[in-house]
Amino acid sequence: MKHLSDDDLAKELKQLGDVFRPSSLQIEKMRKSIFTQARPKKTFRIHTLLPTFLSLVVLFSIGVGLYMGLGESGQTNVTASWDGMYVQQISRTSPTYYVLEFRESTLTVKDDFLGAAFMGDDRDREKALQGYKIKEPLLVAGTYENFTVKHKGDTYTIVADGFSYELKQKGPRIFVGEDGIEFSTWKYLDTTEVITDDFTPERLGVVTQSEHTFLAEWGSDAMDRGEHDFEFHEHGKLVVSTDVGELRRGHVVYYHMPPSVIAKNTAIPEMYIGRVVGLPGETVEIKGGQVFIDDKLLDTFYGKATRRGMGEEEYFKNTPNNAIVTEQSTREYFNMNVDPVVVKENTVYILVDQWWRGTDSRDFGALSIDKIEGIIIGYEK
Amino acid sequence: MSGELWFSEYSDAVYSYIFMLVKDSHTAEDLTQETFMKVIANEHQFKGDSSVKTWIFRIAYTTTMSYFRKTNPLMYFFDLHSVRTEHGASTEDIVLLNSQQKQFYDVLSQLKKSYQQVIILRKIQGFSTKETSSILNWSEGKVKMSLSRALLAFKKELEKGGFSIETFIR
Repeated sequence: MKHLSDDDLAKELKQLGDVFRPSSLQIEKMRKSIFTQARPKKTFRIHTLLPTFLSLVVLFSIGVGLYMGLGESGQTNVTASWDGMYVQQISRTSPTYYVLEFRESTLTVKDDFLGAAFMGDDRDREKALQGYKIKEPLLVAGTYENFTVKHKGDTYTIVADGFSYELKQKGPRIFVGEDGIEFSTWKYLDTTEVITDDFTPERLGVVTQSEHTFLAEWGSDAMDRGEHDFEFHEHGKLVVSTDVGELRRGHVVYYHMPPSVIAKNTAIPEMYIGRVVGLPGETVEIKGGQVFIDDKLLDTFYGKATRRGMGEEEYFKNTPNNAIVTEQSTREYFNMNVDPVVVKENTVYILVDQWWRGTDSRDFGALSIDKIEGIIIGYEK
Repeated sequence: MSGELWFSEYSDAVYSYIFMLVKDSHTAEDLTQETFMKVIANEHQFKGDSSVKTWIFRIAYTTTMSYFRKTNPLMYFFDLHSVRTEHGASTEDIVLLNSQQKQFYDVLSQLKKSYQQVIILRKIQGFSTKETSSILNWSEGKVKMSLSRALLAFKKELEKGGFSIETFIR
């Protein structure tokens, strides 16, 4: 069989191409549509741009809607949890003494400032105002129905008829108003996790001595919880057990004060006592006068700032005004802050019971366990 | 206006080129229109470094390829377009072909896409190797190689269908 020659093939292919050529009718049709369409349209027609306009408007409104929606949803309504809240002004930088009471659906704003009574005419008033940093406080005393409290980040916004007021949370119980006035509460907000101690007794009893104990004398009121606790002249000597075993939170230990502290203040006794608050591996922090262990609230008698065993409110209620040196600094004590400290292996975080009276881990950091001589288990017979 | 002149001169060649590839007269008309609209719109871009016809065919080629890509991305990707013709409308419906031409065209349609391109451009449209290389954006070597292979495959297919020099009608 003879093969096809390339020439024959080429010829046939050429002919094949001719078959596919368009008719003159088709060419005219194409020419018409090309050269009529190709002419540029110069007339401006609104309807051609209408879809663009419409979609822009829709897009814009969706954007605004989303923005507003998100702005709203960022705030959570926490009105219910503020029922029973009692917020008291603590700063003395304004001629006011506000007390905010949230009860059911009523918000009562009281101004218990006494100074106002002594301000006579406007001139006296101006003079009296000079001593205050905040001259125009924003809150107005009165009773407001149907308030709402919204929460976003660390900001609480109180909204009632006619006014809205922003409170910024500074500590667990400390708030700063938008005008700079500071408030405190005695209710913790948004604290979910709590560490408790059901074992440690608040007061020591009398114990008998054994071969694993020795006696120690303690004369300071650093551990006073209202009954001159641990003090030698009231209860006698302390029984210290050398059978330490494993240290638990709440144990009161007898230890060698680090020499660095004594070097600074020679009045501090070489042997000291204090309570174990933070154990190895934990992070101890004091926020607003409250101890937090790994961000959990330490809900025990030794977990917060006290004076002779009394917390802030109890103290101010039971102490005559003339016995309080300065209220501001006392309030500050009850709301003290200590930066977080990580307790390393073989060390413990020690606090005395009356923080303002004693020296402890707030001064020298976590204490090495080998400095501990023993655990105080009671008073001698 | 050179656009209209070019159209008068080359529209039938462009149309037949596209028609052979897409196998549908209406699509071929649309694509030819699209090609010339592009030609007119980009007239100023033509620098004269090739012949006008080559330039227009380059545009026709890319237009047709993007049409295939749009309509049948998967087929295009796997170079399966030729398979479609076996089930598609017979070319007899559109163009009057004698039995020999029909056989030629059917065999051509069964070849690889690149072989079809090179046969159509070189043998049917009569472009030179250099022109074909600039239309397809291939190297000249690739055009030459593809053409010889394509013709070989073409002949083989024809002979498989019982075509020989004896049955060839001149």
